[in-house]
Amino acid sequence: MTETLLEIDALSIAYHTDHGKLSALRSASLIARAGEVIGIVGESGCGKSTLAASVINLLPQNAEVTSGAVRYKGQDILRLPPEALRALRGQDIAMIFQDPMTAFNPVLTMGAQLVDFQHASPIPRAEKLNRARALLTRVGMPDPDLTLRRYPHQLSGGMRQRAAIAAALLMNPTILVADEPTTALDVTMEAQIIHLLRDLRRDYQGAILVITHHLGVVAELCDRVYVMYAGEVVEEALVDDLFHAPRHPYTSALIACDPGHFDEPTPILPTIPGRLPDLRTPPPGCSFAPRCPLATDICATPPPRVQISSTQSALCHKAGAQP
Amino acid sequence: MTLLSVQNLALDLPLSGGLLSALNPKSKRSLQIFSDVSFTLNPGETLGLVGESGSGKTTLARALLGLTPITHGTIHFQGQPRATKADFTAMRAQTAMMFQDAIASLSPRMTIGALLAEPLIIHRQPALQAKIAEVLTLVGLPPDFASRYPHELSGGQARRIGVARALVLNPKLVIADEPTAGLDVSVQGEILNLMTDLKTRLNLSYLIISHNLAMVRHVSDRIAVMYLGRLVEIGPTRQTFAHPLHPYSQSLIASEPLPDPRKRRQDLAIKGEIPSLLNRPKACVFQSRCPKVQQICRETPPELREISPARFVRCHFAEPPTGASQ
Repeated sequence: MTETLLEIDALSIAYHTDHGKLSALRSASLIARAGEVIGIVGESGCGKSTLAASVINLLPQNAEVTSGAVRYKGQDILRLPPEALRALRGQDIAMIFQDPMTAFNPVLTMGAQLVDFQHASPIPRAEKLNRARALLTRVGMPDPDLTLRRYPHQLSGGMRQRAAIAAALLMNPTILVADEPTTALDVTMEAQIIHLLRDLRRDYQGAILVITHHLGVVAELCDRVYVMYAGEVVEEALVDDLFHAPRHPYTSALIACDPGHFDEPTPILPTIPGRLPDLRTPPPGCSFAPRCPLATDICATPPPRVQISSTQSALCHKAGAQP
Repeated sequence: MTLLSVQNLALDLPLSGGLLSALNPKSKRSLQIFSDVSFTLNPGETLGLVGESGSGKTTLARALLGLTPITHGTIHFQGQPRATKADFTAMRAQTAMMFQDAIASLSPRMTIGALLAEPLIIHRQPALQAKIAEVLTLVGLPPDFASRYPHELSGGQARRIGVARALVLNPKLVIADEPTAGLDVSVQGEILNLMTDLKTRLNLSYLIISHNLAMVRHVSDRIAVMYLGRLVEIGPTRQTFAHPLHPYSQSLIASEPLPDPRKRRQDLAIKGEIPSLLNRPKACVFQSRCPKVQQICRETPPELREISPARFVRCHFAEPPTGASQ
């Protein structure tokens, strides 16, 4: 087994809001090893963006880490002094944001920004520019020299997302976090970005974390998947097991709801009735129980994390009983 | 009888070209948003209009309801030509639009009741409490929602209000622009099931505009594919998905990420990106990305032709589907 680069260990994060304290993340754990593409999947409000922000310690002001740690090569990111954190961000851990529109400064050329992003590197400016050009070529920009002279608004959405990926790779980071990298894109552009990310991982030694709500993206891109619900990791599995032998009822329900999953048109699409629990007062038992078709009385008590195999586990009372 | 019939619709928008072109009226440039759009919609039918951003889907929908003036072509609704402002006002009492951003389309200062009463007041119909309660029940919300404000709603509830607002005038045709954009997959089904249910109960026709192929596939009877302001293919949904005839429809369907890691696509279905409207290719609009491009595609614009029963395609090289796909 390869080296563990990142370990999120029983992390709990709460947001202080006007309406009380909201438990956005509850004892979430995750491991990323070198060469892996990890998928973090879930619906809105499940805590996946909070988890992503914690990896690079970009949590908002009102967030409080109530317990747990995020360890990168052994050091706890959440407790690093600001200087050490600055040295880490962008160089060791880089992020591709959801909206390529707002990821760049509108009044600077792409070239100026791609050089700026390398401010911590001691190499001369001309070399930084060369490196930017090389990476733009790597991500499939048709005319990298022209792109360097362009302003962000002169690039299309797909091109800007390519540039954002190039920017994230500039410092050769060990961990790449991609937050909904294809959500803002059209389907043909999405296919191209998925293709690019898949292609990059072949010669990239680090770990890629892909945060998405789109099961299709997970299936196309990831090796291992964490499914989140109401701030908890409810299931962890290899991608093939997740889609073909899911063990948590939420995972099964989520897969069943995806209209891309049917070969024939279905007049009535499956849904998950009910709603997310109120995270100001998370339920003591299983948070999915009120919406779960398998729920019984026992589900009112905290569910165990059932280890199904060395690579698969589910946070469910019923996971052990299933075939 | 067809409910809506559109013939050779075209829309050009004038480009304001700065000071120099203002001095020289001959240089007046215009931007072609869409052209040569023809299709029909029958009562009780759902037509799915798919295409990427910038293909002109939303502008077409607005033009159908007279919200954007067209440059060329005719629109017939219930057999009557619709051209003047008065025509469209009369038509809008029997048509409705569900806008893309459900929450933004609800005024934050109005209660749900007032929002639902507004279309009735505009079209001079009695805005009765009972009518509003009825339409709320129809979309599966309790009647006391009438006193709530939009910020109190979840995304799914806001969509339901969007449906209620579209139905309050008892329309014949509902145009739904991205009815599930921004919704979670577990909620998306609820809205689509509701729309399907109401369609059969009220004998509605839908024009559903979306870039989400998987969704459109389940709710549409027929599907129309748009690319850079042209309809490139129209046909029954099932047949079109099984055997897409236009190279663009083929790549679009092949690009959709499938939720099954055993069916990963190894080859890239389509390279490049949709050209800007300012650089619309001459002749065939898809030539710059088409794998089958030939000299004729750069010289002669292809016509939308009926290649086999009910299947229309705009390509020089499209051939009727082989075998028993009919």
